[in-house]
Amino acid sequence: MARQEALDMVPLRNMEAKAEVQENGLVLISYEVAVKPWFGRVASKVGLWDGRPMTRQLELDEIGSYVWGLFDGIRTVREIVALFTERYKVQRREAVLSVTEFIRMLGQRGLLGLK
Amino acid sequence: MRLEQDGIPVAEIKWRRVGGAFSAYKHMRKLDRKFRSVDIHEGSPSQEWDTAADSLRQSGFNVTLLQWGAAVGAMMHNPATGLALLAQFFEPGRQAAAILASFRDHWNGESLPWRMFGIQARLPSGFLLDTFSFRPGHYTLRFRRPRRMPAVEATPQDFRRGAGADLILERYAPADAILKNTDFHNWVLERYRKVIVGQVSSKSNMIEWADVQKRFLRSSMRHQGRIWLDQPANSFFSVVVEGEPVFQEEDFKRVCDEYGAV
Repeated sequence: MARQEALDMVPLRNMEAKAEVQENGLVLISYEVAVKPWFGRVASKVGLWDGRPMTRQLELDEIGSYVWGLFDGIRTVREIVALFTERYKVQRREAVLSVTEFIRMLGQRGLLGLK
Repeated sequence: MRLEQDGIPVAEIKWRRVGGAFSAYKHMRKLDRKFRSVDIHEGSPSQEWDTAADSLRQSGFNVTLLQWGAAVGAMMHNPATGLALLAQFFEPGRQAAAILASFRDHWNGESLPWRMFGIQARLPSGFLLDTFSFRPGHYTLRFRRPRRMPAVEATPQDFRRGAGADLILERYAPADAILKNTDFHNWVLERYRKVIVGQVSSKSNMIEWADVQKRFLRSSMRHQGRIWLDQPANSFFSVVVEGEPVFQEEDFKRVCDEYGAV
């Protein structure tokens, strides 16, 4: 996929992930992770896992929390980059790298998709 | 320095100052031996390239135009300053010839201007770019002035070896996000604790230090630095000098004054 096409895509949050804004303004995301079958069997046998889905938490920093708030299912990556550039007064290229890397990181964790 | 468009390399520029004579023919043969599969030969694809080369010659360069496949290159050398430069354009066009014509050698002056990715600086002309990094949020440019100019074939290790002075420019952004849970003073002391040497003086948005360390049977080492917050640019800028005390106080002040956001 060309870079220009990727910038026109819309990031979508995983509806299963629970995000809450903490008192300090930072976003805390709780999400379930799939347990590998072999690990599940071993963990069950030694009493480390009761078979319920495992939950992980991810606390975003100041910038991550701001960008997470921009994922409304309507804005494209390009629009998010423009808002990021304006908010933090950084170079556009720097904003593109920051936002796309953040989207990639969330995508790897299954917290975000692109349509 | 390689320039890309839509992820595809379009141009590459290599440069270095060399001492003594420079033979373009010798280097062309070297390239020819290195890339045996392509036929590298002297030549110009069109009148535009000849005009660009003439423009460079008028500015003091000796120019040799090269061709291989569809690509065009130029080998340039300024005997007055020793600057040798190889420019390669992988998809040459009218724009590429104009870019070539715009090359200039600033080494003749006392200072050298730099401008890239939204930052600009003017440094004393003896400093050569050693390493650079442009990561989102943190830019670093490391320049070095070796006591002796390295040879053409010198490796980066040779360049860093021996006496000389290092000049490091950094930029951190966005400052308001960095200072969300700390203050300027604490952030600087934490980030630069290994760099700061000697007496520290601080103002509201600036921290400076300077020290000269005497060394037994060796030349003394100068450490000097300044970090400041540029609120309109929402960035921190820092200038750090380490090494031989060839860098005068007024040079340091001038570098700091000229360094900042474009």
